Amino acid sequence: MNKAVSMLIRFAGLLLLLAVACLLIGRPLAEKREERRIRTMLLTVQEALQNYHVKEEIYPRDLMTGAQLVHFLKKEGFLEKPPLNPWTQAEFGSAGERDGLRYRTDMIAETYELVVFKPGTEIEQFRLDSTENQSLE
Amino acid sequence: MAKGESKVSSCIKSYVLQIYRLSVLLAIAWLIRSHHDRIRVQGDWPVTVSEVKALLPEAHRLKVDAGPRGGLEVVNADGEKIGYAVRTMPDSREIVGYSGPSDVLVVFDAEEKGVGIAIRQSYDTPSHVDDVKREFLFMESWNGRSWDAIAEISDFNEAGIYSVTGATRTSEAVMESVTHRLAVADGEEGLERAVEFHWNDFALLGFLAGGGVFAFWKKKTFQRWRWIFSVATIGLLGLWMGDLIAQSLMVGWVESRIPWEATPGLVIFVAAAFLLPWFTKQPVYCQFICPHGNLQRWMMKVVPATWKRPLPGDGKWIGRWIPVMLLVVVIAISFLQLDFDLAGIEPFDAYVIKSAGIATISVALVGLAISLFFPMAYCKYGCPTGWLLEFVRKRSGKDKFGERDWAGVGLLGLALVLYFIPLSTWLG
Repeated sequence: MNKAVSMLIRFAGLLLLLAVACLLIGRPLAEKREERRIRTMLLTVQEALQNYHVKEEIYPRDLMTGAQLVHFLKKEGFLEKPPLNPWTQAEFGSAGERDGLRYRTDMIAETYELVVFKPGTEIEQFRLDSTENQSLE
Repeated sequence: MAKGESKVSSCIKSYVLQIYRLSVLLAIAWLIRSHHDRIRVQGDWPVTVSEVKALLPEAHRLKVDAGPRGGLEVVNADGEKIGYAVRTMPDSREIVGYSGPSDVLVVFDAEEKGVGIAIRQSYDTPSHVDDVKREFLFMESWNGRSWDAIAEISDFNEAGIYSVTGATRTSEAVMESVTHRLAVADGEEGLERAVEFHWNDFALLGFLAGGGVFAFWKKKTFQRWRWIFSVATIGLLGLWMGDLIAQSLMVGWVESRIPWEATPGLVIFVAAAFLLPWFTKQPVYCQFICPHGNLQRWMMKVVPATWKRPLPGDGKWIGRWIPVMLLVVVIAISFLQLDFDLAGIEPFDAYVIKSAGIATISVALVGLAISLFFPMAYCKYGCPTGWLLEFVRKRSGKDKFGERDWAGVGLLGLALVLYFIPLSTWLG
């Protein structure tokens, strides 16, 4: 009986340690996965923006969120397969969804800026633009 | 006779086990290193065989070259090296064309003569990139030129390489990216590193020698001075120099390279911490040098004996798995390149008070508090670095494949799984 109790305690202990390990790794792993999804989304959107610029000779003039930009580029025919929202892993679209991407251009729409903020914060996570930060590498 | 034979076989078994233990650690270290070399060379968009095959049809496999050129050896089906491939990113990330940099693949044959380039991925305007890709005269103007000849180009017109009309800036960026990437590699190749000993290297060797003397010279009249050495390890080695052996230090070395020329004393110090117990059974670092261990020893002496509590058998058994769990975390973090400061899982960085984070300070303080009631609790049940040093330590008496050795198999298995299963499986 004592041996069975002891085995049970040890098993529970190991499970607890496993849970702690998962807890330690879980958050940074989720962040890393999200980061990769954001990078993929950014590259798709950036390529579409470049194609838009080639055709229109300016970048879109309006300040836009990720959802607005993706819908705009899709409507204009520059995004055949729109990227998924990396924060929700669903299609960009519904109002109030988590969306950390912000697009803006300069006064004469000659440059672009794609900035990713941690959703709900002002913490800048990624920046891809046509002047200084032109790659994610 | 039988007794003699059994002694010999026990001795052989002991040696085999010792070699096995060191091999497990070296194999894990090699896997981490090789994995990080692969990431360094291949980046986020690994070069594939099919990309190289388009330029070198006999390509069958790509082998990461961790040397200064940082490229890929191209191997044919018979295992012979038939060429070399490099990608220009991330070295060329500052070389911008019309609206962004491009990642260019450059492939050489076995004689190091160019066989072609290909634009793999680009942040530049897609239509301009397409124009460059379609301009065969430009794309093939690198063929037949040697690595060094390309790296030395300073005037493209003089070298007979002309930009593409209609995509001038994009093609110029491609040209510059290629020459820049090859020249950077040549520059790295020429770098000479000289070993430099500084005062702290000598101090570390002094602590190592001191620990060794106290571990091996058991004369009572000498041992009574050990307390001075112990205080010196806490004050000088720990609080002043901050040179404690930690996972963050070792993983950093294994992932990139061992800085033997910049901090030779520290390298010898760490190597000796593993090799001394492996050869001699004496846990010289853990028992004599480690400042945190010595601090716990002092606390054990200071607190009343009545404070001490025995830890139940099951508690001890579970506690012995804590360092293994932490090593699982360390291996996973290293392979998956997670944003997690390994200094936070051990108390050692807390000794560098100015830069210590909350996590490491908490581990140090909680560990010390627990050791008031359960003597040396952190060393016995919390220290992943100590676990590794104990793992390789030569055992007294009859040695056998035990619980720790199975844990070693598990850690190596985890490293193999993370090494062979592509990162995209884990990271999406």
